[in-house]
Amino acid sequence: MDRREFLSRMAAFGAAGAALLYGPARLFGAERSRSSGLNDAGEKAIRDEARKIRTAAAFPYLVAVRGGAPDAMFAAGIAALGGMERFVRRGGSVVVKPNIGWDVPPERAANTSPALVATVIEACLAAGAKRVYVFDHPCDSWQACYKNSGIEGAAKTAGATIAPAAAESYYQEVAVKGSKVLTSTKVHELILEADAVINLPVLKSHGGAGMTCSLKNLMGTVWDREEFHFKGLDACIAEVALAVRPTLNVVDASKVMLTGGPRGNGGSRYAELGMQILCPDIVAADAAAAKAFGAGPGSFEYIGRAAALKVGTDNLDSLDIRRIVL
Amino acid sequence: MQGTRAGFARRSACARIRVAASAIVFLLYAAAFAFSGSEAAALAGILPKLQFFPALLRALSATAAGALGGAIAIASAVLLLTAMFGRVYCACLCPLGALQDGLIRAGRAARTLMGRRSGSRRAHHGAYRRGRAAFHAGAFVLAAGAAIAGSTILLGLLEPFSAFGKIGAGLVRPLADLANNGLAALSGAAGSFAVATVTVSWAWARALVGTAALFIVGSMSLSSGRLYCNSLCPAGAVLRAASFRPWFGLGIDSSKCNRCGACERVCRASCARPAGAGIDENRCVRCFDCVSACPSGAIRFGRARPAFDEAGAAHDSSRRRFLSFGTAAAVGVAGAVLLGGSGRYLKPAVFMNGQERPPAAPPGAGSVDRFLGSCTACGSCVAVCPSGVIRPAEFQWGILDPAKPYLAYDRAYCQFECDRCLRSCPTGALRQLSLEEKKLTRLGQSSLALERCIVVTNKTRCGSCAEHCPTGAVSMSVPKGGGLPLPATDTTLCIGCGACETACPVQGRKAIHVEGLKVQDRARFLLIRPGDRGSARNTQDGEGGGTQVHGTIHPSEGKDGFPF
Repeated sequence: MDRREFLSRMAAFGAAGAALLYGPARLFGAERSRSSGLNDAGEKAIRDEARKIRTAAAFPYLVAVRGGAPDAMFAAGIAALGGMERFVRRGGSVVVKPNIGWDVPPERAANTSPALVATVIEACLAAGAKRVYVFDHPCDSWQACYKNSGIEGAAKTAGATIAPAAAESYYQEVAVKGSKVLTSTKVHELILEADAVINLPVLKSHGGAGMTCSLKNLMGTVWDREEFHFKGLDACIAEVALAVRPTLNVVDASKVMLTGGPRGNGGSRYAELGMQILCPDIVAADAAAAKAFGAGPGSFEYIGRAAALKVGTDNLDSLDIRRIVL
Repeated sequence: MQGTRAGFARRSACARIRVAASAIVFLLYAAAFAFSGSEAAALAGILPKLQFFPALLRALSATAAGALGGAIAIASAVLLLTAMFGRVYCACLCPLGALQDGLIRAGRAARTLMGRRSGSRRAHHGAYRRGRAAFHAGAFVLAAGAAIAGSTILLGLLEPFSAFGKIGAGLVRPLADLANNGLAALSGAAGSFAVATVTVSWAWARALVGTAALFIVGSMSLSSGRLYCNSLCPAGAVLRAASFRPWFGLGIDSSKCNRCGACERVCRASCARPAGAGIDENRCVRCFDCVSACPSGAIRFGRARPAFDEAGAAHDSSRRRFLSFGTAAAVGVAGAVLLGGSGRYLKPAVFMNGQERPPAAPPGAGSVDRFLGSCTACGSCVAVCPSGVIRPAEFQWGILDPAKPYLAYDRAYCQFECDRCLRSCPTGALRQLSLEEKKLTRLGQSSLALERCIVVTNKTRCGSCAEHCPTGAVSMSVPKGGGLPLPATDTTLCIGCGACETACPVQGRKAIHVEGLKVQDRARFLLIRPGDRGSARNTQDGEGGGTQVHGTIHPSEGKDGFPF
């Protein structure tokens, strides 16, 4: 444990050094995330530049960790990615968006693990975030979901503000540039105002989409969920990622619901995968998650659609992947 | 007399206690409805059960010994209290009584104000009225008899907690929601999420029913004081009988009394006789205003036996009394039989509203007949339902059961892990199932119309119904010929919660629809046993909600055990 801690500390120091070296990138990173959902040409250019600088850095494109508790895996993973400082601006506001869709206890793994939510919040605050907000627009009754998922308690203890999302007044209409189907949608105001969005999905089976992970988790940032189904689920899941662009995606694949998802029932089967995937590229995160799920990016139409929209890449072969076993 | 609002200088000690107690009771019950959507819903799970008539009804329908004991204890405690001290329950434990007293007080204040303008200082309720006990008894026989014969419509209209609950669920709760959202807007402007905006639980049917109840009770109390409690209220009728000769009474000391008639003028029950001739104990709702108003301190609450009873009885000969009570009882019984009988006769004809099946009743209803036979439409379950799926019926239950709750699945569904409604039910219409039992209770049955499903019509992936299904009754599978996954239902697993219907994105008539059941029976449920791979749908013994791990993923084929 000592050696591991030493290594992760070293990685963190390395990240701090890198952050100094790539100061402009950090600034750009902040700029990029602040403009989430409001992409005009100029900002897009800055963002692309920032992305280039960032990928040119010594950090891996995607980090996958397995074999530990959620907080230990996250500590190792984020250190390898360059530390939370790379994604969270000092004094900025952060939205941590777990999956809190269902009124079920944590052991059902239908919602993101409360322990992971807590450790991500702590990392954001330690990186200098001024405020961290946590919310989801759930399917079941929202107070029950927040409470019984264990996330409300964990998030509050960790120092975040639990924000409500079950009223239309919290959402603002946003044009989805580059979309064909979901031309506009109402996005939660906190997402639009945040300096950084940390997407915290739980990997599990999904009756409609096949698999739910990072991209599908963004459905909890919009008001009209029914519209997605009506207009075409795969297209809308892909296109919402044009409007809502997480700074970092952390996939909770510790205990994976294999059947009966997303809510799960008494007949649901599970796998103790003990894995976490960290990646700023939401499409790559889902492509890796799809493989972890025992399928591939090609099995889920929305991943290919998102890649075609240039939201990210679903070609894992070309990527610098760092694999950590604890 | 100094010109205070009620026409007396200062309240007697008893009256001060009564005012304080009834204010507390009113605020508690109002809060139970106002905050019924929040954590305070627990309040709404306890307070309604403490009320007298709901406890009587619960005792009649109780199946569990504990529930029966509790209900009998509450009903006997109220009866004993009444036999000892008179109708103190009506004075300060009944929320509808407290509401009426508040209105009476407001009315007096308004009258005093107007009276002052016109130079008069009279602020009172008026004059003594005859008891009309026969009318009250007849109303009771009619309402209770009809309930026994099969229709609780009159009981639901007249029973005081049910009337209060209709106002609470229909008006208090939406107003509280609006106030909450005002606060949320303010706190939001200050950058805080301390108060969350909620969906205002407004529904026309609810509001209309609440307004009607408030109008009837309000207009009666503003014009005639506590007339409702002494002519229509079934709880009042029982307690009136119980307080015929209370241990503690209101006695007038004729040596002190100067026959000024102040007691008669302030009496909200119109039961103080002219010129200090006494107080009709059985109608007295123990407001103690007469004690406060008496300028010579002649009226005392104590062991002293009031002298009026015999004098009062002398007005009516025993033959006349027998005749009037007999007529009232006969009319009551006849009406009850007619109402109950027609309820039974009318129900099948109109209830279905052109549908084959009844609407879904809240969990714990047991059967439609049982449920409609004991529900008084008090609105408790409507108010505490977190999703708003429980709504008071217009005519979904037929014309003789308006305002009784049903599950409206078009915009909300019954939450799997929730049992607030049956916990809040004070009359026993919803049985106290455990949460595990409730999760297996079939409220309705889903039926699929694939020709309307958007997977078929729009050729798009969906599965919203299966996503929301808590039991695995709806699942998605690729048809034999290939193509997009289509929903399929296993009705033996379906509990009729309506999640699928609510979630179905089809505009207009949904592709999956849940209809109620005449009898709420038990569903089969899924449970994976250790070592039970693959075949998920085969067991239903043991406890539900297992999360055993039977993974089929072997993440070993890639680098370092990663599949990528």
